[in-house]
Amino acid sequence: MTRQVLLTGNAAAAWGARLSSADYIPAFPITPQTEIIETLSEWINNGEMDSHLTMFESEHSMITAAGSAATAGVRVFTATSSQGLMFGMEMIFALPGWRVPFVLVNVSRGLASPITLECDHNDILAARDSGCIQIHCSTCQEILDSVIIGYKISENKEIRLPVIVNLDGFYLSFTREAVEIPEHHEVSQYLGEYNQMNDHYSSSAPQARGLIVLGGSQYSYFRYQAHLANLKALDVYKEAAEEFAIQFGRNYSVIESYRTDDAEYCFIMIGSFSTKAKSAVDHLRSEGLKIGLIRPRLIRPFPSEELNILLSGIKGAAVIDQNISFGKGGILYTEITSALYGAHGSYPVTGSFIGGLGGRDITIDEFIVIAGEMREYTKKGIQPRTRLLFTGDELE
Amino acid sequence: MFRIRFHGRGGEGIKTASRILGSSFFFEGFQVQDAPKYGAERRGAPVSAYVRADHKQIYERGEIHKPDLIIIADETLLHVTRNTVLEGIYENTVIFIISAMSNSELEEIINCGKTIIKIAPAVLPENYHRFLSSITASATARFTGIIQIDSLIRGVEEELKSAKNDLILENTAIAKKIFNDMTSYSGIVTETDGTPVITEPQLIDLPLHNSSIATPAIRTGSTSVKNQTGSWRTSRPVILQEKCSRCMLCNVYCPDSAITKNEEGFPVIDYNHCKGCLICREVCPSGAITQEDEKTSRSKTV
Repeated sequence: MTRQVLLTGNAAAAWGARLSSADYIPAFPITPQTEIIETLSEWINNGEMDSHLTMFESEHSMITAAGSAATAGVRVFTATSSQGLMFGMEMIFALPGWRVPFVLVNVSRGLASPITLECDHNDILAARDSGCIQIHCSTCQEILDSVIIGYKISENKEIRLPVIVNLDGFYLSFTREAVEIPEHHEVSQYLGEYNQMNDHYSSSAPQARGLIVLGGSQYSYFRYQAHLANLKALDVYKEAAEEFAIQFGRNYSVIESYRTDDAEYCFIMIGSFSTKAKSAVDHLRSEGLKIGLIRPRLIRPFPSEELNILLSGIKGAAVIDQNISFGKGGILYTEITSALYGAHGSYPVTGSFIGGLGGRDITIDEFIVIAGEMREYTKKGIQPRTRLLFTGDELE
Repeated sequence: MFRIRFHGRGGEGIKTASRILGSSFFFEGFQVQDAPKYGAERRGAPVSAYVRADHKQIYERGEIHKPDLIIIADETLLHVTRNTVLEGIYENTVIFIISAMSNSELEEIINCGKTIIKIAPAVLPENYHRFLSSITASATARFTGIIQIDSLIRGVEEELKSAKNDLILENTAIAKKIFNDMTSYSGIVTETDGTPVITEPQLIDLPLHNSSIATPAIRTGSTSVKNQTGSWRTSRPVILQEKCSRCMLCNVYCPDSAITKNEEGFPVIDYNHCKGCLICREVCPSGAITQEDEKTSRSKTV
């Protein structure tokens, strides 16, 4: 019997680690991730979870330990957020080259400066080019399930890359929703034992990883291998998600689409605010506008082909970015439009809207304004200029 | 959907209240979302919490801008963050407050012509602050007319399960009493269909400003001066001049720079900004600083 309980996003992440039987948890607390570490350490202390948690002095060491332990032969879980991810970034970029599997949960929080504790996606998107696989969640249930699916992909023998599962600070981390907790033995059956592959560290068989290679050829080879593995993870994800759906009854396609079948317009966004976009879609539909939502779950590997299929027939698409690349604009917008360019057929008028920075709300009214603007520009057939969701009152 | 917003201060149990209510709805078979909102602040700072309950999956998220019910667990907030507390009131909004003020005084202060339900502290146990979570959650559960007493009690027990058994029993007892006392208000808070649309936001094109303006920097103390953090206090330190040796250790240790020296060299507390941490009392070598209950002190000064 599976149970449905109210869980915060942080607790759901911890449950994902517990059900996946993570053997080792290198940890360092940071708001809004701390509850994950607290929950896991409490379970371990109470004997409810058989694992070993070590508190480190920084995220840099924590992430190094995650990679080392995974290499040495145990299933590893870790979690961070924002400045913590930035502090560990050297190792986030190094570990995909080690080709080691583990799951890291990032609880999105805007970067300094100014300092904030609240959510946006500049932290996780800074890890975009690291080689780590990225899964973005929109509900507490999805967090728990994505951690489990994350191990399945990460430990695949062709992939062996870290998986980052992303959830939004406050809007998911501290928000409780009904979550179904699968049975431990069923998750164990789904994941299987941790596959150590050929790695056996012992004094008689020493090894080294992450070595220096000069001259460029070997470097190119290893780097491109990590790229190919990341690309391959798209198919592996699909298989893993399909198997998950069969066993647990919940379906996670690489891109979630909501009411897009006959849609002429759509919102495109990632993260928890996309559920708000769904209520905006319902409202706009009730007023006769054929609009839907497209939400990529995977950002790396990027599901370009799937995106093009979903966008065929869409006339106007509003990309809403909860991040900003200074000097360019919305990162998701850049990703989406580059995937569309040169693809077969016609592509939609695509607008860029930047909002929800540092936890700023995006209200239903703003979704309605965005839809109105997209309609107007689509009729004219021109790209709207980039808009920041920001009102006159906010400047006062 | 029910959209319910709680307001109180850190430490009063507002997050727990929202969770008790959330669990109670959940046990009644509702889809639920509950979430607290707070900053990097401490006990005494204003906090809010949101509960949404619906018969289908909830897509809304975060702040509730158009609440069906507002719970004000701490009436002093009406003077401090009035606009936040009363944000988004519409024709069906009900306000519930724990207040010693008379009905007419409350109506004058809240001044929005909405139904105001009040519980006076006088009818509650003297130590009612310990049970604010259960009191507010229980009253709210009754107002919905949908949550049954069994689900409410299960909610209280679930959310307080790490507490001592005696405390859980005290909480369930007071929850039952309040639920009973509020019978006449059963069903006063109603669900609203659809997504609340408020007003069209007036988006602006943000112009480029000079970098000296566009830097997150505090160049004067004015921001802190205007933010009267003294309202967070639940206890206040009081300096007894006759015992004070003017060593000024209190000034050194005050984390908020709220203690200064007067012309005679005695320390003076700025009660507009003292948050009541009482570190000064701890470090005072001559025992010249005492602790007083804030509410009592405030009524004395008034």
